[in-house]
Amino acid sequence: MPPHDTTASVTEAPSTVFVIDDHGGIRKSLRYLMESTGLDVEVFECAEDFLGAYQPTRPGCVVSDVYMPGMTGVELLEKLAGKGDFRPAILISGQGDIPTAVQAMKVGAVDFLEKPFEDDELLERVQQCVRMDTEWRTWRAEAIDILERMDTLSPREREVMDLVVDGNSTKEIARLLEISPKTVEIHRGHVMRKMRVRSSLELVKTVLVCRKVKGSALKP
Amino acid sequence: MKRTVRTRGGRYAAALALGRAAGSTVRGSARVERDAEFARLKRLNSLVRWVSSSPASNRKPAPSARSAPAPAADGSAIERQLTNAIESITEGFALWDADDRLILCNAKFRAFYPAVASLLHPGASYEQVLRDALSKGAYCVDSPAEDWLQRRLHAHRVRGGTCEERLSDGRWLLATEHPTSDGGRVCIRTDITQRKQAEQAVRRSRATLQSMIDAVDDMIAMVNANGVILAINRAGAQGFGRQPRDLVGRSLPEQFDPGPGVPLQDMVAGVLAEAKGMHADVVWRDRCLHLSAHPVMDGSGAPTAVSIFSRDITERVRGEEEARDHQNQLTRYMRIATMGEMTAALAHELNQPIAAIVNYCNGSLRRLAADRWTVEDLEDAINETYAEAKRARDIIQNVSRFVRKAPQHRATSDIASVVGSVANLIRKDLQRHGIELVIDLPSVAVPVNVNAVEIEQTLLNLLRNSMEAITEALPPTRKIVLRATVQERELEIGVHDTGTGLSPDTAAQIFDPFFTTKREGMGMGLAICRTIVEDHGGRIWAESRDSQSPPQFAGGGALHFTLPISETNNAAA
Repeated sequence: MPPHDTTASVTEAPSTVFVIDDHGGIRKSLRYLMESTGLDVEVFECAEDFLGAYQPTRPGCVVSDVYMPGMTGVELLEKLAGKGDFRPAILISGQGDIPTAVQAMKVGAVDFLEKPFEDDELLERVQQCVRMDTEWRTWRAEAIDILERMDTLSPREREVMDLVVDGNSTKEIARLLEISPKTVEIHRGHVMRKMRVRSSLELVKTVLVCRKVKGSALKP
Repeated sequence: MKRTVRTRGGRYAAALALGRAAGSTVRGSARVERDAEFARLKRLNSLVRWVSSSPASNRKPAPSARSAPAPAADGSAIERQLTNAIESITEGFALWDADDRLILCNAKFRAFYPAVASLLHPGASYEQVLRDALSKGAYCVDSPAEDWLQRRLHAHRVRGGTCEERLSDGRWLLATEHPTSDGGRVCIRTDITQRKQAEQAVRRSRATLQSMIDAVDDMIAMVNANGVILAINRAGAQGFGRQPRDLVGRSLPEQFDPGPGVPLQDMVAGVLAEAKGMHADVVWRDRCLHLSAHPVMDGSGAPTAVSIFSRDITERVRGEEEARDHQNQLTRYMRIATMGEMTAALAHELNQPIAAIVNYCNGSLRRLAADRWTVEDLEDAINETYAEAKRARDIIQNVSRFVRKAPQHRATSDIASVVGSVANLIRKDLQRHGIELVIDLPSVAVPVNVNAVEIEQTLLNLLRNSMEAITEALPPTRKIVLRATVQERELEIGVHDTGTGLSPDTAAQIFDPFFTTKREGMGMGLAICRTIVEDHGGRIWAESRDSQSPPQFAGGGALHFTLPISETNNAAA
């Protein structure tokens, strides 16, 4: 995947760390710590508050306590996954127990930290999560862009593109589609132009970015 | 000294004078001489025993009476008197001549030997009578008949003196054989049946006593003032690797070598001096012995000997030590468990402020390092750090207050406060597992005299147990009800949960040390609870699945315990 700073497609908003902890002292001090590394931090007292202010398009990661009055951290991640939001998340637990950790991982937590945790470690993980989120968002934007380009293809052009990506020559495509090689060349030229690629190799690379991704997962 | 008169016809008549100095033996039918003799006897007025044939009614007529001379008038009188005398004594009496032929015997003598009574006529041979009696089974003999016979003949003819004979009808006779001056024999038979029976009874009871004493595993010995063994039972002797007979006459204190902790000789002296029992526990050859010494009084009531009992109490002492060890172990576990509980609570409480302090410090340092700080930022962080640090200090102060107040003795507390502090401790855990805790206490304060920390520990363990039962079973309703009710003079506290409950087997064992149904459990928690509750004079039990539970907990688990209600209120009234 390309590094995020080389793609110009997404950096529309700065990343934010969403901290959810019922303990005021922890909440406040975490914000102070994270802000010292230049991160934007928003704090919430409970998962419900966070969901109330939730905007799927705001980039960033989640740092949440597991056990809180009301919704737990694990339940929060389940909720987000249900919305198709798989943003990186770190869960923190006072009592680290294996079943909870496993459950946290299942619902997509990147990390499960046990109190007391190393502050530097948390910072490192948070930064890693922010990077992952950015990378994910970049890739997703790229994929959406490619899918949008694909949408402009006619059915025949789409067929030709798929066969090209599968590694068939013009002759083979002509035989498979029972059309003349000449016609294949014309379609191929349209595909290259609409997909904004200069070579067959570039076409393959571009299509493969999003080939195995289902469209629904890319739509927030 | 001997004078025997034998008539020619074979009839015997003899006069025997005892203590008389008359040297000659008269033979033949010298009636005159005999009469003169009797006269002289009378004159001498000495102790005279005249012996005659038995009265006619008592004996068969003599086979040949023709030559039987009639005694002189004087002689007849004496004869009658002597006959009367002989017949009146309670002993059997028989006189045999030097040839061992019967001169006479009294009726009592015959009565002793009914089997041969008919043979006891003058002239009968002692040996023949004895043989007949033996062959007719008149005697109980303990050796071959001939040996016995020869011994008896020897005693009769040679040895003299006394011997005891047992008759087959059960009677015992003391047979006394006296030689007479003329070579004859006087046989006296005394009935000693009663004495023998008494002796036997004594022997039997002694034997019973002895077998009882020998059956005892403990040492029983009697020693005199010098510690010399007068008697010792078999177990006692075996304790020294000896037989009882080898030890009698030896010093008992010397047998204990190397000596026990307590000088035995001093004990004996002390018992005799104070005329009262003494006890001591000693260790001897890796055995623990309980020694008890008591004075043995003589007829006048003065202590002359000491009876010493030594009981091996090694097993008992060992058992007591084990029980003590067990108790210590429980106490130790309890302390560890309490400390663990406390440490966990303390760690949990301190986590928050310390994490906050760390975050503020780290955040400040990073701001300074990146040269991206404002005075307001840092001031705020320092203020927050200060506040969090104070919070941590308060927590520690609270805990140390809690530890200090932890009463080693009991105090009257209201159960509500005990329950309240436990509920606070466990609330967070319950919340975490989504378990609802319902507390149902009596509306009035119930004073209980308890060690609050211990009862809190107990309640905590019971609640934790219920919590684990619920998290394991994951029932649709996750609920624990802690209910305290007053039952007469007791406060009963029940902890019901909606877990899987207990099988009757588990319910029976759940309070046993090291019994656990959990994969990672020492099985000490509830055992400690039992120790605590029983220590407080209460009871603790588990309800099994099968017992009656409130309907909403049917099938769930329930643990109960009781505490005696403090009497202070009543005493004040």
